[in-house]
Parts: sequence; C-alpha cells; structure tokens
Amino acid sequence: MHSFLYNRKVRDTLIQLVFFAVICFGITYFALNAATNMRDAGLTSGFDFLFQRAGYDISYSLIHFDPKTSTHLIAWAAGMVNTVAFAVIAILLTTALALCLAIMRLSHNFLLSKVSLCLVEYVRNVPILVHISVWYTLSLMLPSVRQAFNFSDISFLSNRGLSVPSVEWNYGLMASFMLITLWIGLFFFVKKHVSTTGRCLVSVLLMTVMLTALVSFVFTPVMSFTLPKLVGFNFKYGWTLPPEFIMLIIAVSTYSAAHGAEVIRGSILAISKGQMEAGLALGVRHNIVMNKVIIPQALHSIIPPMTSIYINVLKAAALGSVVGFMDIMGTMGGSSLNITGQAIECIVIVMVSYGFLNLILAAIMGRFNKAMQLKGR
Amino acid sequence: MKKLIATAIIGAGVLSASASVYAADKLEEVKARGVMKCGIHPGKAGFATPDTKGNWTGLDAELCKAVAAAVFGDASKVEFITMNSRNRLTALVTDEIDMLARSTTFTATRDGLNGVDVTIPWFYDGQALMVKKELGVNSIEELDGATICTYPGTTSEKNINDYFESHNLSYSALIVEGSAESNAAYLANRCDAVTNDASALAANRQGMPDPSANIILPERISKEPLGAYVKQGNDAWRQVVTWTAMALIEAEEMGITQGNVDSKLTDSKPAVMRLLGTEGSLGENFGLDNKWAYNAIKAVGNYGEIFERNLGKGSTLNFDRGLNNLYTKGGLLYAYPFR
Repeated sequence: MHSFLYNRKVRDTLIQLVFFAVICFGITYFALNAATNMRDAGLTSGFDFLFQRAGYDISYSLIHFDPKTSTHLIAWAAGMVNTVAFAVIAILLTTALALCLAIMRLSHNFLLSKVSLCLVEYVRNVPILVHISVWYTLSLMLPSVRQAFNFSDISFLSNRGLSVPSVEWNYGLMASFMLITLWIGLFFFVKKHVSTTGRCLVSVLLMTVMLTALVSFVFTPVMSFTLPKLVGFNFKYGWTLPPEFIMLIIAVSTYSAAHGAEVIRGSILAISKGQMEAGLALGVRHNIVMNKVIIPQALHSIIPPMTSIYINVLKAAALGSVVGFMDIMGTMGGSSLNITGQAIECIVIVMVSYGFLNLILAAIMGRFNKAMQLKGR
Repeated sequence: MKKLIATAIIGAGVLSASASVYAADKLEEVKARGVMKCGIHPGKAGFATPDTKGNWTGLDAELCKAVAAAVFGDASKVEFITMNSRNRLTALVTDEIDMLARSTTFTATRDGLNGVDVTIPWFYDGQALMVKKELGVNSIEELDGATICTYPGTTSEKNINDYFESHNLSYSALIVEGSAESNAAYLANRCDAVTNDASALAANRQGMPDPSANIILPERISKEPLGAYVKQGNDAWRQVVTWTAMALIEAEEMGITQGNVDSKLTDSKPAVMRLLGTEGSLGENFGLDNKWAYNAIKAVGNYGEIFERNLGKGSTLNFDRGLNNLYTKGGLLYAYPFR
C-alpha cells in the first residue's frame, strides 16, 4: 500500500482526481445554491422564454428580424450574426492596419516612423470606450438625412449611415453550379501554382475575372439594381450600413491595430540583423528581403499574441451596445434580459456564446500556427 | 495537498453556513444596522440629483429620507446607492439595497417574476415621445417610418413596439446605452424622436442647448406608475415603506406641512392625533416609534411640498401636478385611512 501510494504515476493521478473533484464540488455547490436562492426569492427559471415573441426591434440585423413574429431565439441569432460579421471585418482590418503601422515604424524614413510612433502611442494609451465614443460623435457630425451627401443620386452618406444601391443577381441553377465548381477548381490550381512557381497572383486573378465574365455572358443573369431613395424619415430600398456598425469597426480596429503593431514590430526586431544584411549583400531589394525572408520567420512569434488580440476584438463587440450596435450582449444580454427578467439564463447564454465563438477563433488560429511553424522543429 | 483539501472543505463550510443563515424580516435588519440603504437613480432632474456637497434631493431621494426618518427618527441615516436600470432589481434580491426608489414602473412581470414586491405609486407617469419642433410633427401617427431612440433596460422599448404594432405603424429602434451618446444622437438627428417617461423627457430637455426647440407629443402610450420596490417576503418592511409614503399624502390631505407639523402636535382632531402619534398605536403596530409619521413629515414635508420643491413651481422643470394631485383636486393620490 505504502509503495503503491508512492508510485509517481498513481500519486499524480490521485492528486488530479482530488483536484477535479474539488472543482466539480465547487461548481455544483454554487449552482445548487443559486437554484435554492432563486426558488426562495420566487424567481422562475428555465429557457422557455426563448420561444416567446421578442417584441422589440433590433436597430441593425443582417438576418431577417421582425419584432411582430420573431422569438428571443431569433433575436439571439441576429446578435450572433452581428457579432461574427463585426469580428470578421474588424479582425481583417486590425491585421492590415497593424502590419502597416509596424512596417512604418521600422522604416528608415524619419517622418513615417515618427508618425507611426505617435499614432501607436496615442491610440494604445486611450481606453477603448473613449475611442468608440469619439468615433461615434464624429459620425453624428455628418449631415442629417435631409441634407445627406449625395453621390449623383446613386448613394448617400448621412448620420443615418451609408446608403448604397442593392444588387441582386439572379443566376440560374446551372450557372451557379458551374461558377462554384469553377471557383473551387481555380482555388486548388492557384494553390499549386503559387507553391511551385512562387509567382504573384495578378495573372490568376485576371483569369478568374475573365472566366466568371464568360460564364455570366453565356447564361446572362438577371441583374437588378435598386437605388436608395429618401421616403419620409429615412432612406428606403437599397442597402444601408449604419454609422454605429462602421464606427465601432473603425474604433476597435485602430485600437487593436496599435497593440498588434507592437507585437509585429517586436517579432520582426527579434529576427537577427544578419538575415537582412545577408539579403542586402546578395543585392536583393530591402522590401523583398522583408517579405520573403524576415516576415515569414517573424510569423511564428507573431501568431500567438495576435490570437489574443483577435479574441479581444471579438469581445469588443459587446461594447457596441453603448452606441446602439446590438450584438449578443445587446440582444440577449440587453433587451431580452430586460423584457423577460430571466437575468441568469440570459447571461449564461451570452457567456456560452462568446466562449463558443472565441474557441472557434482560437482553433482557427491554432491551425494557422501549426502550419506556420518551422518545419522540422 | 492536505492543506489544499482542508482549505477547500473549510471554505465550502463557511460558504454554506453564510448562505443558509435564516433571514429575519428586513425591518429588524435595517434597525439593527442603524442605516438604510436606498437604491436611486445616478442623476435624474427632479427625482434624484446630488448637489455639490453630495446631498441628494428629488422626489425619489426624499422618499428614502422619509423612510429613514420614520424608522430612525433621523433622515440622515440613509445611504444612497446609485443603480443602473439593469442591476436595480437584482440588487434588491441580493440585499445590496433595502429599498429601490429609482423611478421604476410597477408591472405584473416584475412583481410576479423577479422576487420583489411593489409598494405604492409615488409618481404617476406615462411614456411619451419627444421630437424637434422643426419636424412639424404633432402626433405619433405622423411618425410612421421614423427612427426612435430608446433606452435599454426599461419598459419603454417594449411599449413603443406594442404601440406602433397596434397602430399599424412602422419604425426602427435605436437603443443607445450611453445617455450622453443617446442625447447626442437625438440632437444630431440620428433619430427622429426619443422616447421615455414624460418626466424623464422633461428632465432631459432641461439639459439641452435650447429646451424650447423640442416638444413632447401629447399622447401617453403607456401607464407608468413609478414607485418604490422592496425585496419579496419582507412584509413588515414593505408595510413601513408603503405607509410612510401614505403618511406624506395623508399629511397633504390634512394640511399638515413641514412648517406647521410641530403646532399640529397639540391638534385635537382624532385623525391628526392618530397620524402624528399623540394618540393610538399606529406606529407601534408597524414596529416603529409612534412618532414615525411626525418624523417623516418634519424631515421632508408633505407630498405636495416635496413635489413643488423638486418638480413643480419651486424647480426649473415646472411640471404640472396633473395625475399627481390629490383625488380631491382631480388627481390620483388617495391615502388609505389612518385608523
């Protein structure tokens, strides 16, 4: 028995089991405690409310949401779609901006590097909520609907957002099928082409466009434009991007890009100077050495900290409620919570939703990280 | 490891012990503590506003003071805790505050679902819409298709939806959480109208560059009886809060004011003697001092005085008493008999 307990493997397993049991006990205890207290306080719990009519309006929803018929579940879905749309655009923008700022900062051009330094230092040291407020206030300074900037009657810019014509493609089934197969085929071709020749993509892109045009020409899709038009109080028809959405993206992207720029700069500086010098000694141009030698190596140490920046971007969607952009926190954790009074359930749903989205994001970045690792390490 | 397990067990023990303490009635708890914790609005003109010295005034704040005066004989024994619209009811359930006087509407859902109890209406309000004069809109019917700014965590969001649906009007909502942002959005014409309780709109309008450029449309799209909430299952405490509010209304009905309450102590009318505690045992029945109502009136005055001082003639808001007048003067205020 004595020796059994002192067996390292057994002991480690035991310690882990005890630890796990304590955690389980803790969670169960708190859950039961909450349940008891809620029952004593006369609070009804449960998730039935999800299937009741929401009865409130969502200011901007990418999926169809009608306050007359949609349930709280649909409201949650609308919030989810808003969150994801925001996160995808903001993450792409963050990456591009961060890369620009980092390269600027490293450039030997005095003006460029100092401009980048000032931008990064200013943006990074101001709380994100202040950024959102400032950008939102700026958007409100745009003219009101009746005095909207008019771009030759095709699109309009006002403090209600940017209204652009909506385009509807009516492809036949056959054409759609052909196009999709064509694009998938092209994708694999491009992948192979690039990995074997290292050529740039301009010719391939040109080919894609031409082939798409050819298919379109053969099948002549029905294409309809609908122009935005001022009807009563607002622009109707067309497609309107609200200022809340645009400004939240700008505010969060600039803020996160300032953090990202420092991550990228640090990783690039960590690559030994000899690499650049060797490249230059071979007569290769500075920016080519940067793109082909330095940045690929710097990527290993860029990806992990960038992942956490991306996760913060996604979570920043919740701050949208301050300026009226409704993500999960605005719909489920805001209006639905308030109307149904099911605070604990709503907050649990919000937590699980954010957790789920972030785990997906982390998984994608994890795969990317694996792919980027030095081969043979 | 042994230490870890011991800590875990002791910790769990302490937690369960603290969770299972039998809760006595809130009234005993408040008396023992010697100070009453009152949840109020962080800043709403006429209802709860702190002055430069940190003294709170306003219709809601004075109700808290009146209750403190009734319980302790001292209106200063109240601790004001500001609440936002999302955490206000939860704070009651979790005992963070003893009473909530934060312009909160009495609704069946809140009373039935959230583990709280209503007391009596303290201010009869109704939801309205405010638009700019320049729009030339005179009724809600003309707002078909408009964008409307609402506040989160309030009933206004649902009311506006119900109203527009039942009148077959379309609208789009914009729920802006920050009050500064929300005001800015309305002022910049990001939304055509802003909706809230009429009292809140009037208070809001006062803070605008040109208050007279905005009109509050005449329709009231909802009934908003605002009043104090307490935690469910504390009947003695609920009675204290309810009857203190009643006493201030009763005082106005009898013509007892902050100025003359001392001289009324020698009044020989039975009703006055019962209210001021010189006869009978109304206060003691509630578990208070018999001078409870006297103390409350002495501290803040009767309902009419409180109203005029904070919302009416004595304030910048210039609110009509309207529904908030005594039943004898065409309003809804009606104290139950003190006998």
